[in-house]
Amino acid sequence: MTFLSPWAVWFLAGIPVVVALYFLRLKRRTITVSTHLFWQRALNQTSRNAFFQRLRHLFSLLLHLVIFVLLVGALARPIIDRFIHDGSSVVLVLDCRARMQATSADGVTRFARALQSARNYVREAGEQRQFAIVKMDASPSVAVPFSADEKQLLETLGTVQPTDASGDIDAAIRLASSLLEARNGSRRVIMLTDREFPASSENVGIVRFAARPLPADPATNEVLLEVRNFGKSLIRTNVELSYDDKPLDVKPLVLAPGATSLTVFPVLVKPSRTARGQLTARLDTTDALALDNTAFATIPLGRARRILLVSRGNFFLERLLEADSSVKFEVLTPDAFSLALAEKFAAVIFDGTMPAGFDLAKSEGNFLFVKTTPFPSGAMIEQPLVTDVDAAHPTTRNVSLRNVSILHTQTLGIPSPADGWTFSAPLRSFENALLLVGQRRSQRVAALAFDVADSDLPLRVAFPLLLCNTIHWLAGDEPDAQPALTAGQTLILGVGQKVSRDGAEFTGAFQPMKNGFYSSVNASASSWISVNTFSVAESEVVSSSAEVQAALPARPLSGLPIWQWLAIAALALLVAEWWLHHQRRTE
Amino acid sequence: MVAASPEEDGVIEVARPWMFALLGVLPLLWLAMRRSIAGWSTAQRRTCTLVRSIMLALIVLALAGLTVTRPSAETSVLFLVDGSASISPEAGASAREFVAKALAAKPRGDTAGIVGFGAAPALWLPPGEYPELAQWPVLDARKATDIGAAIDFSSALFPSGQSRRVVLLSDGNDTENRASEASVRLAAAGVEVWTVPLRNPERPEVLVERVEIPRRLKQGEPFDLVANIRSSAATKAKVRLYQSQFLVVEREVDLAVGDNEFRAPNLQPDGNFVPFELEVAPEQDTVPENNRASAVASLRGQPRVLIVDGDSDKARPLADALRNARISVDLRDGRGAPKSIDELQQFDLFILSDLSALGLARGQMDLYRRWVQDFGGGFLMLGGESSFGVGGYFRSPIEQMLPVRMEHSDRQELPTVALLVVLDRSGSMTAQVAGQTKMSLANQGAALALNVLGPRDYFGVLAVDTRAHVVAALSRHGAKEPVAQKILSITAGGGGIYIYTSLAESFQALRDISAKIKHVILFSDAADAEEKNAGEQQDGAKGTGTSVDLVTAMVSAKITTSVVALGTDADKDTTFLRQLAERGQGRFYLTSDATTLPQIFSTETLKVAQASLVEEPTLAVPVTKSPLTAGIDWAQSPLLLGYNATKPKLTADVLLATERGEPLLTTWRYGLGQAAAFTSDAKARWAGEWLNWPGYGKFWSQVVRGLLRKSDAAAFEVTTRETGGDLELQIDAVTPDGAFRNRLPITVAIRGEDDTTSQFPAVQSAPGRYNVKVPLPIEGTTVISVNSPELPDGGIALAHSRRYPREFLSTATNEDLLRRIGARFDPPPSEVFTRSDRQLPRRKDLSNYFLIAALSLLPLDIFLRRRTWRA
Repeated sequence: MTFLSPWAVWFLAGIPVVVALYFLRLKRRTITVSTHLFWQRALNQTSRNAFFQRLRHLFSLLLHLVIFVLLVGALARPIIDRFIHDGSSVVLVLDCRARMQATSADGVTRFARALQSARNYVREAGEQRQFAIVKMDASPSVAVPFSADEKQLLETLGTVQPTDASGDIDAAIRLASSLLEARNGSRRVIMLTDREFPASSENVGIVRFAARPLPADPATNEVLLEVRNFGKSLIRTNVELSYDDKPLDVKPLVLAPGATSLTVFPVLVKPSRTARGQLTARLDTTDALALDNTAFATIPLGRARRILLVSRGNFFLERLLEADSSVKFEVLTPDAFSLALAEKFAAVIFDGTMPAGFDLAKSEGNFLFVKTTPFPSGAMIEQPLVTDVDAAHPTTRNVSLRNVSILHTQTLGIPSPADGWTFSAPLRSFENALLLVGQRRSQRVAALAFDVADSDLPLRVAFPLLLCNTIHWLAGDEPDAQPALTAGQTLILGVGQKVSRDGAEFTGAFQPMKNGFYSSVNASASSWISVNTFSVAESEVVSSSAEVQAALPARPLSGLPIWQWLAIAALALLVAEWWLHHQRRTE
Repeated sequence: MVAASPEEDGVIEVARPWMFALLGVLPLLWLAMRRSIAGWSTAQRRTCTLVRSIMLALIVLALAGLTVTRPSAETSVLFLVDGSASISPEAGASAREFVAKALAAKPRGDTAGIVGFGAAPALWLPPGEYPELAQWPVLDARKATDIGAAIDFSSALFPSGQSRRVVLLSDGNDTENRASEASVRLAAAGVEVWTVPLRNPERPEVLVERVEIPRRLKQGEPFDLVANIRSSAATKAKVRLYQSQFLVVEREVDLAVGDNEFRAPNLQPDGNFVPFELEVAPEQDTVPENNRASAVASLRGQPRVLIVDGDSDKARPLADALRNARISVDLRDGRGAPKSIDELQQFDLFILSDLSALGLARGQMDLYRRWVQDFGGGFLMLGGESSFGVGGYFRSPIEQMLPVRMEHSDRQELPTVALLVVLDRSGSMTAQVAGQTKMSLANQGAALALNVLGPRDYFGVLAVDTRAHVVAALSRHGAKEPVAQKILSITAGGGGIYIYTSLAESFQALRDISAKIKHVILFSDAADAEEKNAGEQQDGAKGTGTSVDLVTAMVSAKITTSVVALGTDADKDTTFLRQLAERGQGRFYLTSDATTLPQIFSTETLKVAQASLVEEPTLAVPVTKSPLTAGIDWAQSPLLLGYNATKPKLTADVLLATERGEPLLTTWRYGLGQAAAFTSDAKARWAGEWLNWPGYGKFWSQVVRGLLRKSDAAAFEVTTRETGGDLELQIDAVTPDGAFRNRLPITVAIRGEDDTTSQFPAVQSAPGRYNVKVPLPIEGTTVISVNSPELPDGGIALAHSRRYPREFLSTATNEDLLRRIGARFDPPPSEVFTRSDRQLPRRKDLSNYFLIAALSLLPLDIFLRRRTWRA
């Protein structure tokens, strides 16, 4: 036993005062009576009980001394040694990971139990035993710095919510340890994590759900759905798919214990003005962890880009642009074109032509030059071989140019950076660029060194891919612009970009802790961001974090600290003593 | 929680209001008093009850946890001081000065602490009212600036009950990019962030911003290394380039202010992943750590070329030239010709040089064709006396694949030919070979011979058993097809062949024909050639003389005879037939494989017609521009002494031609691969003068590189991103027709510098997309390979070179960042401790006061009970 307020011991100096008071001889009150005949008998009886009288005197003194000591004890804030060893600086690490939402058979979540345990601990808070609370989720953070204020600690615990994110125990322990570094005296980390709070073992979860448009056919999205049975019994269930909250499909699932089902299926979505592109998968089951039974994905809804084709007629290009639903294109003859028009379009394609006096340095707009380019070119090369395809560049991603025959091409070198432009050649024949791309801040330009009609490119899958990639790159579309985040992941937002859901708004950085769809708005567009847990570690609700066992202290004995019990005892004795006195059991 | 009585400057709150229930004991006191037999006076009763009740109430109040909350008047300021390497001593001193001035202006009661940070935060001074720090410690990890970690760290250090403020003193060179998100978190926790920019003095600074090497290099392919050197002052510098730690380039350069391009041209490294390191030694500089940068050249394995030549020694000059151009060459003679796709798959290009088709099975030739067509292999046929038509490739799968036809040349000056084919149609020819009778194969040979000849040539066919049957009379055939049909319909069945009868008939047919060249091709079973002499057979030719004599007589009449024998050396008539050919001044062909008969007939015919081999000096004339022939001074090229005459196919690309305009180098795409024909040779016979010509090696290396199998078959596209100490790989797996590859087991293996290998499985995250994070060593080059057992040919390897820490990339102050994350930017030090608008409540627990009061009342309580009360 140790006292957190040892100064209170000085109050024990008051004990002699109490004792001294009992040495005061009680002066009998003088009462005038008519006869002492009856009193004599009573006095005789009293003298016969003198021993009991002295005992009563002693009992009374003892009772008061006990009350006095109890009150001094409460003031001294005693604490059992075990807790002192647990630290006068304690960091409570409260596990807020998704797995803490798992329920036990009685329907209570692990988190609720952990929170109750945390409350019991912080009731021990005092100046000599300060608590800090660290939330363990995707990025462990300090909920309360070291505080002796029980009320503040309890209030904070009342606001902590479990997240849908996965987390890192080591990072939380590191943070807790670094908090303790600056503290004197004994130090302790208490982990309130899933291991202490068992949950039901049956769980089925969606661990992967994503949609991507097919490179060869952007109107069709391929959807990947991975479901795993983490429990010990065979599961028969359905996955319900919905698109923009409307039912789309139901897929039956039979999963043996520990089995995984990975399905890939196409989803063809008709473009519409009101579409949100929200795809939801729901498992029709009830299990330990509900949050992994629903998953969210977004389907990119690229707005149709206005493209201007300046051409005297190009069958291949026009057919291709017609087939691309993400593009609205208009055709102009070279004579009808003026540079002022360029800014009205996401990109302008010059097919074998170039406006007179075109100067890239002064130009505004995004351009694709086919065959005739503003870049210095040398002699024609016959039968150029495609020797180098930069798979990392957005224009040539997924483009297979194997054995494409090109009759002849111009020789385009790669220009040096100038006027803010930087250039690269994602497609080359030896040292010559077949496709040259340049960028100046948000302005982009591309040049195809050969006429597509002079090659068998239009007959290949690579053609729509290459042109589609190039046009969308020119238009400023980023590949895979539809971000899918896992809960707890941070997305740095662009200037003016705002992400929101249910009234909560994020700017600068967005770190969602709850699953679902979030609306993302910037100056030019709005889109949806899907957030999911997608963590095997979280869905595997049974496994425990054995490595933190050593950090776990003994559980507190009860909800009330010792000093309060002492104060209550003093209170009870004060009442009892009062009662006894008035029944003349004490003096 | 219950907020009891709001006061003017504070709020009283109760932590455990349910404890008030204990006040329920007070009525017990009063009840005991009512039933009291203690005999107290009224005054004593009232006084003692009051005191005891107060004591109980005080204890209940203590238990209820009464607290008084007041807005905190004090401010706690944590100074986060950037101690990373990008902070110059001057900037560090200015930070110290700022903190000292701020502390000097600190009001009493406020607290201050100091946290130093670089790659990680360190508590230099815990928050306290009287901060004193004689000397600022030097951080261990200075090669990064993690502002985010420092901000997160600081959030935990504030004492409770004071307004909290972080003052960040930094140059904003946040290498970990976490400052923004951390500052958002901190602001949400009610902590103000103020930022103070630390500015490094203007000093000359030179740094290597990046080093670039083209992606996807082939072994031996020369490339330019380009580096960007950024300088803040015009200065001279020495630039050194190390290849695998060996100095390869050293150059003195004048650096201008801004970006300077440094180019090291024509590097040709050896190995698969070759690290290059660029070092700048400027005359004026401040930070030396950023004067080096490295990059890795990822070279695909040396291209492998197979050369098969009838006489492999003679192909050695070509092999050597290619090896000099870093092309791996496997040189074999005819016996080493590949017999399976697996064998061919080891090579990127197959050069067939002057090897007779008679040494190849037809199935083999078809194999080569399929390899090019379906597996994308490269194929080049070189000319020679056993190549093209004269090599027996006429109408073979090889001709089908090549961009040239091997027909008879229709040049006017060629001599006219009279060719008589004598076919053995004896019963032994009915035997089946590869699903056809020997007769049928011989017929095809004869028909090919007809097709090889030009319109001015005479052609006839005799089918001989015991008698000679004229299948096609010796004449000029305008329409070849009906004649060919006749030949193809010859059936076997009789006895024989009667050689003497055959030769006698041939002699007679050819004697009066006015052709420059008269020739007989005699086809016979080597085990069953009868009537070697006249009169030997009763139903044979009458008269005297031997077949050998007759052949000799024919030679006198300028009629030559070649013999094609079907059988082996062990057969009884082989020696005779060989002698016949020798005497007839023709060639002797012995084959046991009847399927080669068509090649033999066409070869023999072309040799006789002298139309295929053109042995006259010619220049190589470029016809169309191509990377294969670029950069060579063709006007100065030596003469070639001969070539095989061919005709280009319709869609073929003739890159080089002879002076007569006949194809010399012709290419085209065939299926997935490329096929080419070079009709002259690459050895001493015709290209003797080329061997010493400087353009020889360049020409052949260009041709070979142009024809190599294209290796863009990698099934994966990998993008990498360095995050902290890890490398994140995003692997996209898409089929060539634009569909996603799903459910692939993909393994990423990394090989460190000590040659240890670690493997990491990639996890599919979306259709066609897989992700994996691998740890990177602190320095140096890591080789990473991405493979899937389901795509054995689709794996790719890449190398990643860790650059010097981003800390050294910039010494300028990133004011944008500091302005963005700071609620206040660049405040004067005197204002650091100004009262915040967001004052935090400070709670005071009153429990102890109540307990002390209760304790103090206890002696009074006893005294009041024991004193004498007047009635």
